[in-house]
Amino acid sequence: MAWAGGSVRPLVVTARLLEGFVSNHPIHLDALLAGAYAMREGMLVPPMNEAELVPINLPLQRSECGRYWLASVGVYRKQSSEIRHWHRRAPWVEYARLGTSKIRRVDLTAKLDKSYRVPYEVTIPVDGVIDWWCIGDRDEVMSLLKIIHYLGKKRGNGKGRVAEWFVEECDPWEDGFPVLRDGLPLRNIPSESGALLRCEPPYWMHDGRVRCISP
Amino acid sequence: MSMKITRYEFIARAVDPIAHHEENLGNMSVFMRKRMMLPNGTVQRVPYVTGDSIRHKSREAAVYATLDAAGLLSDPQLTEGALRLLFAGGMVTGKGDASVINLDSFRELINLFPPLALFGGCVDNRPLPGQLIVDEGNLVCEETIHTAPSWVSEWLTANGVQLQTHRRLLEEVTRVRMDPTLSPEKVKLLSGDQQISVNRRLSASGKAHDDGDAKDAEREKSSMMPRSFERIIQGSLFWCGIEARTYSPLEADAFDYTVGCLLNNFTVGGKCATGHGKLRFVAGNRIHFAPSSGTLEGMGTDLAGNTGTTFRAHVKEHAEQLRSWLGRVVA
Repeated sequence: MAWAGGSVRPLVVTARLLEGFVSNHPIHLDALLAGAYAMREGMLVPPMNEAELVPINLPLQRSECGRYWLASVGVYRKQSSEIRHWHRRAPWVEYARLGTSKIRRVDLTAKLDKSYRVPYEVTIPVDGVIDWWCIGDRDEVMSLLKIIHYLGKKRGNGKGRVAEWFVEECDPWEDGFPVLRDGLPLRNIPSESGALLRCEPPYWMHDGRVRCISP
Repeated sequence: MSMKITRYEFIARAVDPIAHHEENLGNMSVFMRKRMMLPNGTVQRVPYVTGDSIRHKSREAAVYATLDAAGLLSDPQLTEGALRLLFAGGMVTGKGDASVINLDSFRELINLFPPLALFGGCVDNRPLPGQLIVDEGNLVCEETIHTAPSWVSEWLTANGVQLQTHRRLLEEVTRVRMDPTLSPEKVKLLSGDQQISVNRRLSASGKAHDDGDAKDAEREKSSMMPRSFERIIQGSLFWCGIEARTYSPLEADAFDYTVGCLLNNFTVGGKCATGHGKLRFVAGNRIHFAPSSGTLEGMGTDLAGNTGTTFRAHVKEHAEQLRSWLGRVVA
């Protein structure tokens, strides 16, 4: 599927963050755009396998092999990071006050009501800035990014708050723009070796993984 | 189904001191802090209230509002799964078929319990993403003001509020849990044997101290428990944002009502039973991102008016279906 809208050009996309962000994996620009499209179109239930995937036509150019979008992962320099924790506690007071008398015992150490204290890392980039590169339609990319106000995981409790997006045309580097730089991959690229990863959104899905070189 | 993004930003004043701790060092509770980059490029640890905490308070507010509107609070008799879903977001239970999306079931779910669409949760062995984002509660101080919306700075200037460093807004206090056996009039309430035992222990404790016998002093010591904790001083200001994607007027009204219920009884952190944690709404704005972008309007009076009328009427109309669904939900 190729973008049939306006003309595509080399672009640099920049996000300025106001809060640290949480992510165990590189953040692909095409994943952000696909997420924004799904939100805008009300595709509320995430697909669980490839059969449920609805094709999304992003305002980006496809690679020559047609297997991935020409867009990089987010690149930043780490200023600082810290470990925080999320907690899960069973609502045992509500069990007692609002629950049926059949609830007689709450086990906080195992099974469904087990309590959790799970660490995660919050990263603060230098100047709060993350950059991506792509070949795409500037106006359409910008209109999708405007929907994204938070990045990464733990968005529901305020991590990765975006102050503003900038999408500008840029001069591409010579070899491999925007997916290879100095011979190193800037996104998941299908290859004969490497880890099993997806090369297009949704990157969290297990179905459709192939050998890829990755950042 | 058209998407609308609505964001509330508000300033709240700490009517009580705020106690919200991240860890204990000995008998000292340390206030929750996060690393933050300042405009000059340095990184500092600044006190804040976690987004998780405010989000959970919002969830509680939404759940109680829905149960109240459905008339279920007088005799709730909820199942464990329903309670887990409503107050903790549910769990992957292993029961049910997560590999099949039943869209009718999903629509029924968010129709019967609109806040579930906002908060998300795990129902019938399948996680449903939420549409609500709750910012962290940021202390209004010199170190955080550069991340606050511009209207917050304007409001502070207009109201003559002088910014302080966070160090001046944090204090350390000590409380002691007393040992009732140290009070002679309370000892008289004990049985004769117990009075003799307590007095013997007190004498032994005094003698151990006089003799400098640390081992005996430790064994015979009283159960007094002094402990210290950091807290944000009364009267401090916090700013926070809550944002939601909604796809119907009902969801939008449920969101407005949730924010209204949260701010009406806004408490965060611990030690609520001893005069901590109460916040009062001071000023706020509602921002519409679609179809236009970034228009601000005051939120104070509008939230107190007709907000929640559609939501409450809808929940009341479907109360019996909601009770039945809560009785069989697996979460």
